[in-house]
Amino acid sequence: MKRVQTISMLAMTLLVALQAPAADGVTPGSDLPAPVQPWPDDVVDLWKTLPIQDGGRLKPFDTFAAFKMLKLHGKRTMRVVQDGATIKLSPVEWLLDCLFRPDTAMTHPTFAVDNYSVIVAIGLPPHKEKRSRYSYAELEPGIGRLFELAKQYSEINAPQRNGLQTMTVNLAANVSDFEYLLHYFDFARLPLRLSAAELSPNVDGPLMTTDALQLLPALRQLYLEEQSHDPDATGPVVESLAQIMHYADTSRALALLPPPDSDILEWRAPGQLIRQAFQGPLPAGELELLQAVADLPKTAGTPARFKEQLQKFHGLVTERAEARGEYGKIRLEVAFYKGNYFYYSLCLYVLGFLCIALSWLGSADSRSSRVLTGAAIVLTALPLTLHVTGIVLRCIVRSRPPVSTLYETILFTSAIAVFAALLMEYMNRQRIALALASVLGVAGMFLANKYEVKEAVDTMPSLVAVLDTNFWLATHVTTITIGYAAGLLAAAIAHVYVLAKLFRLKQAQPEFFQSLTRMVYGVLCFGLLFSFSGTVLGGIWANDSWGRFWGWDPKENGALMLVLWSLIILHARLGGYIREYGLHTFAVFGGMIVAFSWWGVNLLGVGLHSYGFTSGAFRALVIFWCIEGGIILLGFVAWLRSQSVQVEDG
Amino acid sequence: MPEPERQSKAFVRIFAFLASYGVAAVILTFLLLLTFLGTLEQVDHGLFAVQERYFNSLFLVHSFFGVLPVPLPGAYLLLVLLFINLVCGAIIRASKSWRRPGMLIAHSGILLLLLGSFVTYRYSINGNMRLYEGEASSEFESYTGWVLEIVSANAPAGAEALIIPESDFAAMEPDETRTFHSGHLPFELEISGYAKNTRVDPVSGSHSMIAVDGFYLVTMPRAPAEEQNIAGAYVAVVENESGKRHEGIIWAMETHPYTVEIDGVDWAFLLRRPRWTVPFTIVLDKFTMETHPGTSLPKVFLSDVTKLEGKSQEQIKIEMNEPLRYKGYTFFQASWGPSDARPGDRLFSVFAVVRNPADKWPLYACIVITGGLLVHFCQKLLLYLRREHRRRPAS
Repeated sequence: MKRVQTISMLAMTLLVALQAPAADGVTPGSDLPAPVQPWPDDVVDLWKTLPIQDGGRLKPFDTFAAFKMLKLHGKRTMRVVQDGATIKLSPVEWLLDCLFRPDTAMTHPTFAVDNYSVIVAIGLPPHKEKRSRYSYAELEPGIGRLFELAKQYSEINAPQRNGLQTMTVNLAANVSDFEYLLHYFDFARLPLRLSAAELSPNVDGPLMTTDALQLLPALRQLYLEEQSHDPDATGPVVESLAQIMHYADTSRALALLPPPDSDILEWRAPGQLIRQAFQGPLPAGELELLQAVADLPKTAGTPARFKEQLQKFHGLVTERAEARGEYGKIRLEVAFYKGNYFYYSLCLYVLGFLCIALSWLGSADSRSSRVLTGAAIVLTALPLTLHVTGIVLRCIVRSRPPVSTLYETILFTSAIAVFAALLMEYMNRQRIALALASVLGVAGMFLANKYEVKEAVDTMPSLVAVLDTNFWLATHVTTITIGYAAGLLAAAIAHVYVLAKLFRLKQAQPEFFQSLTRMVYGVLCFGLLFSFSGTVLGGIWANDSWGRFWGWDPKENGALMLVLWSLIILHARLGGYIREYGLHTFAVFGGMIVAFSWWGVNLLGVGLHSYGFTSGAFRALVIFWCIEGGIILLGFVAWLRSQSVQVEDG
Repeated sequence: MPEPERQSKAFVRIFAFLASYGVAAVILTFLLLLTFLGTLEQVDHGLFAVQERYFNSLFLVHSFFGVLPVPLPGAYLLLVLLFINLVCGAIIRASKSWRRPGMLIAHSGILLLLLGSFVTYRYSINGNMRLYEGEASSEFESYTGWVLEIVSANAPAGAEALIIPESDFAAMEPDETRTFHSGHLPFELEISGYAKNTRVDPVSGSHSMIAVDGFYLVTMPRAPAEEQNIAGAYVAVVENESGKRHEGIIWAMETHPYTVEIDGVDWAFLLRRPRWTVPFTIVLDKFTMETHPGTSLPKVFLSDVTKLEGKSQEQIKIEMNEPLRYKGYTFFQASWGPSDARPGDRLFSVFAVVRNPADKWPLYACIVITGGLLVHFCQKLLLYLRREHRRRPAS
């Protein structure tokens, strides 16, 4: 053991001395772009269900690839133009190209660049479009400058960076991520300086890293001999050792290898096993896994052999993962993402809204209108079913209640709002709540999609210790989120009232407006029940985790504001200080408070609820508040007009 | 009109005003405004200062946009007024009619919640206990505030340790000196130049500050996070018999306290956090911190402790969301260290310790209020459904 450690220490020293960077041309390249070749479907399917540990949890390779592509490319599909034809690559296909066909991957338009000023800043000719996608091959001449600028900008605190600086830092991080993918299999693809015959007379051909790991005593012997002749020598042995350490460093982007010991929770990348081999001989099971993963790139050129080798590796990994009890949810997660529930529900909600909008063109009693209303009901209930199915599947995959992240609040809030609106439609059959149900469904699914794309991180993350409690997540978080849904639904109904009054619609039907008022009142009461109990439950949770019921933390204050506003509306109405107009404009303002409580407080960057932080949403919030402020003003204008009409009539 | 009748009418009018929905709406609106302003202010001024100024106060002046000062009632005053409004309006007046029992129940729950917050504010104490693995303690200390402790190992009986609370010297003017004396002490203590946030610098060149042994106290702006402020003051110990004067600086972060020898007795003067004693002892056996595999994201903070009380001992686990509650005290897993610990290093665990007589009141209040609201809104919903049912055949 001691002897191997000596080699390890020496190799480390030499590595530092040689300073071999990640993108040091160790991968063979060519001047001509390598053609894109499709990966067989069965190979892609096998990769999809391969487990990988990332972000503290086991997830399918499919999920890892999707979020990696989303982060770098901004989309989950990549279009590659080849010989005038467009080829669509899925995340797994793209990632397989990165790992096994790095020359091809380097020509893919991987990097989404929002503004070409970054490209200009690193001294490269930009595309014509301001926002475009660049390949690694295009960026390569400017990468040195990119990293130099990124290093300089990362010394500035993130909130103080300007747009160009932020984009530069992000692009550098993405390029670095990509390089780690390209070089992941260098250890298995590239031979060492030494030949195998120099280490062992029984072996022939080039010496690979995995071979060398099994021949470490012989390698040590050679090293000592070389050093005895010339202590400063940097011959093939020293160079090979430095190469091994280099590959150990470049092969750590994907933790694909489950440890044999169930007490060890951390899965390993090949690089970690390579380093571990220098601490002592690798157990047979580890060596078998390492060899199995190392054999993959060797067979990548021949589909049949590649599939065979992949099946072997997949079998080894899944067998061990199953034995560790970690494979159970992998196939379900793949099925969840394949189902695309939220995308389909968005499309159907849109169709539902179109039906209800068309039904308004005819009289409510006409046959066509009745058919369209029926279709709208189906086209709202069906996407809601898909929407809820998606939420339920996420709950099963995560073994968590429906809401534990900011992303999930969007899914859950919109589902509750749609459900409550459908329930109201069932009760009063006015086709208003039905229309709002589809509008809220569209808004929720659209927002969820935008948020997921913008954040580009796994939406099923591991939770920090304080959130690791299903009881409080199921009670406080769920309840308060229902409160948000009610606040937004009340605001949405109030919009109908204000706009109908403003444009003098349904003037002859006072019961239409009375019905809206009853709905808003009912929803506010429903919302108050949940936001109040949710807020107090939050306090009780805080009392259990931080030792105080109430600490005036921004997130707590946001929830309290929603409760206070609901109470103000109800008491002002009871006291006769506000009537119909007042109730509706106040409800619109309530929607603004929901936005502040739900998103706004996260932007302040203070308080204990920092796990809900999101960046860049400020602009969208300000726009929302301005629009809502405008609606309130319009409501006021409509009220003034109604007052003057009353005076004239009087 | 006879005097008693007039008085009775005036009383009725005052009662009607206090019980009105208008007063409730106004109070709630001010509370909403304060909550909003207090939330935004935290960005620049930190939680503690904002809490003191906006939420624990009777009145305050808020500067809108930094230029427009507007006096506002503080949350403390508003909550007292809300309590009165609730008692008058939602309990006394509403109890005359039992048509809305849900509201009566819910408002009673709110009263309980307000009472609980008052009890917590006035009577709860909270601090922290830091223990290294293997260490034991029965004391916890406050996160904020200071006391000046005068202590001597070989002092005459009754004068082993004397505590001067911060409230006795915190409000002094910068140029004011306050003198403290006790029958047990052979000296008088003068305190001057006390400041909440200070540092001690060596004197360099000429300056107008008071200097002691080549050092002087620099007053710094108050840090937004209260626990980061380090208090300091000048002290002068004047011997009763000889009138001899010893001058020094006391600074809260000082590792060795300022000491004076008088007649062979060593007296030490130090600024420290207020401390409390619990009627049992906690021993930290082991601290465990786990991260999610392959990340630095904390997954578990767990302290294995032993609670010693007389001859009995009990093994207990304290972790996030699973505090230890015993004899009115609650121990929460708050943090750990050292932050740069390597595997095998001895770790310490920090417990937040709270004694709050109203600890469980919010839970009871929540149950009462939710029950009340449920009763009321179900009643309303049934009415609504009945009305809609009547409306539909007619239309």
